[in-house]
Amino acid sequence: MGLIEDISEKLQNGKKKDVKALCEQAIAEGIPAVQILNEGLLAGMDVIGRKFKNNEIFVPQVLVAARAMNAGTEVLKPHLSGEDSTSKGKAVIGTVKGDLHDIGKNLVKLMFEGKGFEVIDLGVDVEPATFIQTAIDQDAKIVGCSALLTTTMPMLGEVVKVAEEMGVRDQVKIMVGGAPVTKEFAESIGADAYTEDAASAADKALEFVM
Amino acid sequence: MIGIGIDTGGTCTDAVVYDMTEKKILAAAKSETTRHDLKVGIAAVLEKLPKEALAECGQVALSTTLATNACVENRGAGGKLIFLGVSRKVFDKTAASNGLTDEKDILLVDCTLNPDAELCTEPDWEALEAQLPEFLAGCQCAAIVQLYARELQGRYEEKTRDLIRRLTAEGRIGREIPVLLGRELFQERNVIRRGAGALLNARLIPVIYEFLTAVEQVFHSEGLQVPVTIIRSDGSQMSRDFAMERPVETLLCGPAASVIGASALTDCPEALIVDIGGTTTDIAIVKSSQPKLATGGIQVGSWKTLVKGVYVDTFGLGGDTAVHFRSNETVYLEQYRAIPLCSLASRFPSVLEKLQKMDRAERFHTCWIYEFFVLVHMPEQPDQYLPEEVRLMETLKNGPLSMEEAAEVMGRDLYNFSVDRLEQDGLILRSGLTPTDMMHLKGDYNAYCAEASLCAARIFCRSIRIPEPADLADQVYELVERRLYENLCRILMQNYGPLKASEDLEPQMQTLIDYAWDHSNTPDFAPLFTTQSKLVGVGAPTHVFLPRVAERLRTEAVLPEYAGVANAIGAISSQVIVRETAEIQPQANEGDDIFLVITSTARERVEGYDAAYELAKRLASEQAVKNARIQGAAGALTITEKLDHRAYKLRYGNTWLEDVLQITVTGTNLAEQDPAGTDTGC
Repeated sequence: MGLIEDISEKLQNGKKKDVKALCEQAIAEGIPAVQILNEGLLAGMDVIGRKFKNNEIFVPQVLVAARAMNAGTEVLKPHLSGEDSTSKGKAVIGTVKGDLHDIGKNLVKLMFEGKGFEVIDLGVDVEPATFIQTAIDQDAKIVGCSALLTTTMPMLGEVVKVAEEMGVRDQVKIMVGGAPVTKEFAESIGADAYTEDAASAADKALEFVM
Repeated sequence: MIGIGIDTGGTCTDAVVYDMTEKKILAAAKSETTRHDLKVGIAAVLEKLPKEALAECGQVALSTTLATNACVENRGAGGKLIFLGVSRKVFDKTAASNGLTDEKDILLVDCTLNPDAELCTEPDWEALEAQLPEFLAGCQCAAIVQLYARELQGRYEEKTRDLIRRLTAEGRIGREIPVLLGRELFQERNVIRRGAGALLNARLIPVIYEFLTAVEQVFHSEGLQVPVTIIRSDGSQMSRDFAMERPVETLLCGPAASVIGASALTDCPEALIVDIGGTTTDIAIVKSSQPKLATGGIQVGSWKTLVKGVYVDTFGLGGDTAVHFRSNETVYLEQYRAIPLCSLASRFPSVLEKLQKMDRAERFHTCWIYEFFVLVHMPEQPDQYLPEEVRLMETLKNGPLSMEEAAEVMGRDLYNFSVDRLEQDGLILRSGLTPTDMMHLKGDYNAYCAEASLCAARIFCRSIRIPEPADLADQVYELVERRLYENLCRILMQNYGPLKASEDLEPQMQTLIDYAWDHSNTPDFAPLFTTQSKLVGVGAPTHVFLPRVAERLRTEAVLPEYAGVANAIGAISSQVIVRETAEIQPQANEGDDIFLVITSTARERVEGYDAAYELAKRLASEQAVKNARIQGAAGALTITEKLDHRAYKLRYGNTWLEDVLQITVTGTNLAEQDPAGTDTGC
């Protein structure tokens, strides 16, 4: 099996040290960093995303795969020039005000990065205005908001209202998610998308920027 | 009480004398609109009204295109806008697309505003105080708009206004100028659009001031010393004083006046107002006696405002829609218009002669040889056009040319010449057969030269083997009615049926509607689209085409007399309508029974839903009544309420977002009348 396919396979098995070593070897052999990134690391994360969606693997496997990917990107970073970057743009994510749940949000961050987004993670208990203000200041096209309590769900609506009030509603795509959230609720508050899991969220975000 | 309604439209200025108690029209008159100085046309039309009417009149109402014209012509100046809490970055991303292009008229005041008052930081008031005198030098009207005005009760807008007033009193700002706050003008979200609307409003204030003072002089010289009211873009009415501060609220008020007028003439609480014009047909909706308003705000030119207008659906169909035939011998309607041949021949006898000659020679062709071309104007840059095109336009200066003559002038044969570009650029106009011509053939209309229509129709019929011009007229009538029916079905589906407002008909739905028109009596399958709404016809051709379409929809066509002056009637019969909303939001993380009540003036925590509801209703009603009085409502007011309960089923349980309470206050400018019926004025 080729070196690049090896990297992808090791990543899928969560082998952090192996991925690091193989990436260093690939660089030494003169393979372009952007190719290692796309065909090795991102391709491996893509498979992880699909398996997760199909319930073939679960959260722990995703986390160790992501850890392996980070080890790989650390190696590649100095060798990636500006044009090589496959950045799909920036995404601002966070859990809404009054809510402290973050596992889902963290998975979304990994999946987004796996698709090539630069993610600005605002953390938990985030004010509605902060989501939008950050997106504007950072030129981010995607805003992702998570709410896990029925009592904090209204805050998702507040984020949309802030974007409308600031006059920038048409400049960002607002995506919402979280266990109690439904498509009907998302439509009623005027969000651009609702997705059921982190992998679908990343797919949808990619659709929005392509 | 007797009132006079005046409408300055695009072409005509109409005036109507209306008995507001009996709801009857006593007199009507028309004069030409003098666009450069509207009051001239207004004076002219008043002269045509019976003098007794003017003596008995208690109120004059205006519907005017002033603001719209001023906008389109980019008139108006001296307005300045102060934005509070809008960052430079947001401004740069949004200003241009909303019409805010003159940066020298806009001041961005730096401060961090947040819907949560505790997270706000104050602007540097001292620095602002130093900036204002220079910024407002030469300003005729200032507008102040802040971010999160509703959440923060506009307190930063008010503080800035107080500062300006103080500086004026201290003599540091030259003259006393009107200062308008964003939240007094618009309640909707979008600070940039509030700013655009407020700045546009500020610029229009000198324009409307000049207009209304001049018009009032005209009224006084005619012996009319009565209250003046103006109709707003949403069809409601405002007093002259209120209008002086809100000229932006008269943008595109024409369609609104038309709907209100048509509604007043027919007293149908559920209606579709169908206005068939020359090129387009406009459809408006009346539900429970109120006009349906458009979503989104009115846009004129590059200005995007939050001013509410009435919903109007416009599509290509009119008295002048071009009628053509295809090579497969079918007749069809275009989307664009042509000058009716009967009308052209009335103006140019040579056109009739040429058509008679073609007809006597029993001409027929695969091209539309009975059509003519007319010059509109020469191009500003003739070298952008081919020599043959310029030659054609030069020759047209001498009068209309038939299609064959035009081809010859251009040195091309009939099959290979094209004037598409000249038509598209608006330099020449086509004249051909139209529904107007067909109406002349059938005797339903006879203002122009029917003989020209007849000759052209005979050539048309010969070309595709239709036996008689009468058959062609029947076919064209049917095509017009069909297109009307199809669009009405679409509009009904979008407003009352399953389609979303902006959704077009899918091809299959189009097929079904088409089928329904043709097969309303087929026993095996006859789809039926019906509506309880009456079809109210405004516009000359409606009396011809609307009744059969109404029949297919199993409803009635109502064709009021005086439909031609519907706008003027709308102005005088409109009412003051003010809406206020309040939100009642459960604060689940504070407790089961705690609610936040938000109105345009207050933000309070209340325990218990009933108490929250009562507070919301009281505050919103008080504010609405106050605004109604400011807008000129005198006498009795009607207050109605509507509650929108926004709650959603989730996978596990429910979530209750908020309740939105809308209070509507309706009134008129008429004061209470005493039992003897004498006019007490206002």
